[in-house]
Amino acid sequence: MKSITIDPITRLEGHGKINIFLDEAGDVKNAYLQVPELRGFERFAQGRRAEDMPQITSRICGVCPVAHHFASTKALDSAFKVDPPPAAKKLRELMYMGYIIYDHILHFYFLGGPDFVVGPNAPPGQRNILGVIEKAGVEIGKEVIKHRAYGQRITAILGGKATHPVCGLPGGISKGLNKEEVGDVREMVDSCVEFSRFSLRLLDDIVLKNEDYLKLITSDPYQLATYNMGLVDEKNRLNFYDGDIRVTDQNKEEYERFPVKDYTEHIREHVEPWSFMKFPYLSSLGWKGLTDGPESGIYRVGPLGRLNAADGMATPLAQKEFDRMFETLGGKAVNSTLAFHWARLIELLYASERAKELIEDNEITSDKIRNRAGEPGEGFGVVEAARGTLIHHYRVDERGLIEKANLIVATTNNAGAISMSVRDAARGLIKGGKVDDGLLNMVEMAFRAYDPCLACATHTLPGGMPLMVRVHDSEGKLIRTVKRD
Amino acid sequence: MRYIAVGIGNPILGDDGIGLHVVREVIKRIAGSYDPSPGGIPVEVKVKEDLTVVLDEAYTGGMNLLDLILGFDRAVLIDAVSESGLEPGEVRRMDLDDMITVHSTNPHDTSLAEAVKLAKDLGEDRVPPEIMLVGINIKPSGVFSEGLSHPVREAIPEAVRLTLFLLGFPSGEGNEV
Repeated sequence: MKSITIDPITRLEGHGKINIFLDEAGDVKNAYLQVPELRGFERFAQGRRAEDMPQITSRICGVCPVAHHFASTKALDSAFKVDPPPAAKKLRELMYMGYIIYDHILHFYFLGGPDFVVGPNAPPGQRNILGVIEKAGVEIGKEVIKHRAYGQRITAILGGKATHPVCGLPGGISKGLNKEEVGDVREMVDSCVEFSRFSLRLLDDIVLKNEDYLKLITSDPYQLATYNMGLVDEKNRLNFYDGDIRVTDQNKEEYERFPVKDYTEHIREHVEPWSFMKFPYLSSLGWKGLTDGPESGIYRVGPLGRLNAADGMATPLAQKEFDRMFETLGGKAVNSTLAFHWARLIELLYASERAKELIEDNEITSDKIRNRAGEPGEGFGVVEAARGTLIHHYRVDERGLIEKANLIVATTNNAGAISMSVRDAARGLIKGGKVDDGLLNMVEMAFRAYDPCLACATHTLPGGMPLMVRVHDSEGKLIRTVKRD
Repeated sequence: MRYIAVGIGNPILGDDGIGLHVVREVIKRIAGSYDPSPGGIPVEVKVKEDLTVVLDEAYTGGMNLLDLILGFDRAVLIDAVSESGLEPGEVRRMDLDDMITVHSTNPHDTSLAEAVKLAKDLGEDRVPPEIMLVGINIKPSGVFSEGLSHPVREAIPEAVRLTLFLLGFPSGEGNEV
């Protein structure tokens, strides 16, 4: 069998490989995402003090420390059978909104956005934040940097340290907010609401009003009709910090809804012999291979997965944008992979509006921020990381030490969908063993929409991260290399 | 003058965290002891009449790393690198342009070199005029651990000497100043 390896992908976290396998005719048969798995976390965690887990797990990933911190803290709430006071939950959620704000700004302007703002056919060296600034102007660049920093500062004010929070405790949080800090945060979130609206207008002007881009977004290679998953509140509205896990089908109808403690009944993981990567699927439907549609248990998480899995947004401006996206792209579930970018900006607006609600809440300055923990046992925690549903599951012994730890991270949830999106993007560009030069761009765009975090924390990479496609014939002999420096 | 040295790495990913081990050793040499509790870092030491040195730790690169070093006259970054042709434990001094590392090229964010260019393009005037790197070569294992492999652990004294030299201690011995 012929195979093509793309290695590594530019502007992505960690070091990933895409292997494309061709059939005898030289057409794309399948594509797989392969990552250098970080191994041994379960063993590493065993015997450690449960209370240290929020700090330890926040080190797993240099990109999502806040998400791991709170998935872990919530797993400890559950393990120690303690419900935090309302003020503690609000403080945690406010801090979480700061994380979503900076992460989503980073992705749109630095990683995913350049493909559109600078253009999908622009040279790769220009498709980055510098190219965005060249096109959009220095003043916009300053706003991007400023608001990304606001998100960081909100998490730092609440969490102690900007990139690695130390505030989460079972039953609450270690630090409240004083009046002065409330004033600072209020000013920042007001500005973030405006910046989010501006970003959506930018998307409108540059992407949605461009017919070529719209065609690209709605083109076949970028459609995938999987199930969708995300956390929702009691009214089925999107929630990042808490709620039930909801799964909707291709018609945006509810398929399953469950609390995180039941996750092992609903989610199973398929293992392929050639990869460490696990492919989660809905256990009620089973593993049917890398295929979409109602028979297949593959689902998507992340911004588009969440918007598809929710009936709406809990804040007014974001709700309007939610309605507009679904009206524009077809009413029911949106299956266009490139719509992840649009969904991400709607979430940015929601996170900013939600942060505003929380900072205006009188209870946010309450000093009742921790309840007493009970006896240890089994605990489950879930949050929506920027990239999708993140689950922590611990078993804690009577001394308060970790017996067993299991994590399902967002990119793992998306593993099957990412592989299919890459395959479909490659299909149109490899025919009869001939590789079109546009392959790298199209494959990268499919990949990047998910904002995958490939190997949390291992960033030991060559600096330039050249992109390489290797074409092998059926005997494994290298017949062509397409390389980009 | 104000100099800063930042050890970069993941403390629970074996050799990946070598930058942290080195900066902690530098802290012990300059400040006398290292306090691992939150608030134990950054450490600020006035080493001469006209030179103050700050020592810090970081777990990510790109923009976050740039935020840490703004306003200093010189920044010395200590980080794991993975360069083919070098053995694990080899120590090398590098400049911003040839940073083939590691955390300073966090691909989710932007590389430090890109972050520096971006900041300058946007009119930021606090970018350190001198940014240099102490690179310790590693072979990433991807296995969670707090320990270091033998060759990488053996590299600590040399990396410490180089760091001290770049921080303005001519002999590379902090306690002689």
